[in-house]
Amino acid sequence: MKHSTLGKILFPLISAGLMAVGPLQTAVGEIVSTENAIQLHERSSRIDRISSVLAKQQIRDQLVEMGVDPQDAVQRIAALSDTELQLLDQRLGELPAGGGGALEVMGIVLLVLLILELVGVTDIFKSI
Amino acid sequence: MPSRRAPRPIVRFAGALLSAVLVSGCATDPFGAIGQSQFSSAELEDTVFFPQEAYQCGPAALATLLSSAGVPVEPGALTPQLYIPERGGSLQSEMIAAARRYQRLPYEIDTDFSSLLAELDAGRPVLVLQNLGVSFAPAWHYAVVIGYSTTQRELVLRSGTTRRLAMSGRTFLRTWKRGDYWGIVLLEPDGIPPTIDKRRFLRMLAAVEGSGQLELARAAYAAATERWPEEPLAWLGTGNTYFALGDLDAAEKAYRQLLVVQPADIVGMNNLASLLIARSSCSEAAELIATAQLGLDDNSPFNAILEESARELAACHLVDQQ
Repeated sequence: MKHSTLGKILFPLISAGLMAVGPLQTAVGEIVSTENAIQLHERSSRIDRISSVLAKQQIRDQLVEMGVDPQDAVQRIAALSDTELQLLDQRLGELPAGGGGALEVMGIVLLVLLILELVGVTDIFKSI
Repeated sequence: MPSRRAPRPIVRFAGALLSAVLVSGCATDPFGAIGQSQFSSAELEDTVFFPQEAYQCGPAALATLLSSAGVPVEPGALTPQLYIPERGGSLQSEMIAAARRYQRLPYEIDTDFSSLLAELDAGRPVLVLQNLGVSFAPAWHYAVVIGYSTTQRELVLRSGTTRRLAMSGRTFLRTWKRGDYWGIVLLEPDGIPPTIDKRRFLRMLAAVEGSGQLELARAAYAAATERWPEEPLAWLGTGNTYFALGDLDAAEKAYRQLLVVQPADIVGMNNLASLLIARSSCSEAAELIATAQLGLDDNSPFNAILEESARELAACHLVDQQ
């Protein structure tokens, strides 16, 4: 997973040319996407194309590291908008991932917590 | 003497604070706070149920929601689009992205309890994120709320392996709150409810456009311009989407309408200029860019965009001369 700094800069630049970065890339110039227009109005900044391409690459790599099939990962990042890519970049490990499977492990803990709740020690939950 | 007595009010205050926390700690019954006359009960009994397999509540819940929105899909088909093995779950952004891939508009509902009930009254099940654990040991879970009863003071969910889970309003609210009150419904372009929040809807549409679901974006923007004919973003999105689809006539029309409702819109001028350059209408494009650049101060983020367009313009004139 270690890229050289040069590679980090060059690779996205090259692949930006190779893969279709987004639907708005046309032969003639670039228009400002509606997402970018909203960002410009709200934060006076916009998502530049290079950081968007970088984010795509990083998220794809992270997804694969986390066990997602590489081909699925490509399709999955293609389905995300620029704003979503920004949100996910660097945060794949911490954002809520709804699974429900944790319940099995949490079962006993939950039971204890439930008793605590019933007894009226509920503030533990709220104050954390 | 003051040093001995001073702590007492503080202790008293702390005691009051503690009991306040204790009282608020017992989550209030959300059914107590809503207008009883406005809501009574609802249950979308026809909502299909896919019992989740281990860790697969994301695909199961989304399949439930999609199926009830007229897109029959099995959880297994969604798993490759949603599941992250190492996290043992699915991310909210990917749930939204997957819904778009099936041509439905994933709209985040208001974060208050009565909005949730209103969606159920309107016949739309709500996919929610719950934290069934606690904040330091979260157990994130997706479920679909399909009903409620103000007399039973409970909500009905399709959840996990339980087809009909009745959960007290109190408990639900606590778990939903820990999920930041996140909930989505699926809409179709021709069925935009009157209660929709304009800003949130347009933001969602911008993401539909940005993720390349152009046909869905086009239809939804058409609904948006009909609903809010004075809203510049709706016209911008319409223009951008048609431009991306290659329909320059329709795009130009939309950009021009944008400049009618908001004549000084810089993005509108820029995008119309880009389009005109593509059509080799160089002189009008030059005029637009010059007008847009007029009122900008030096550190405006719009400068870079307009400079880029000005560079395109140079190439446009070059073509002119040939």
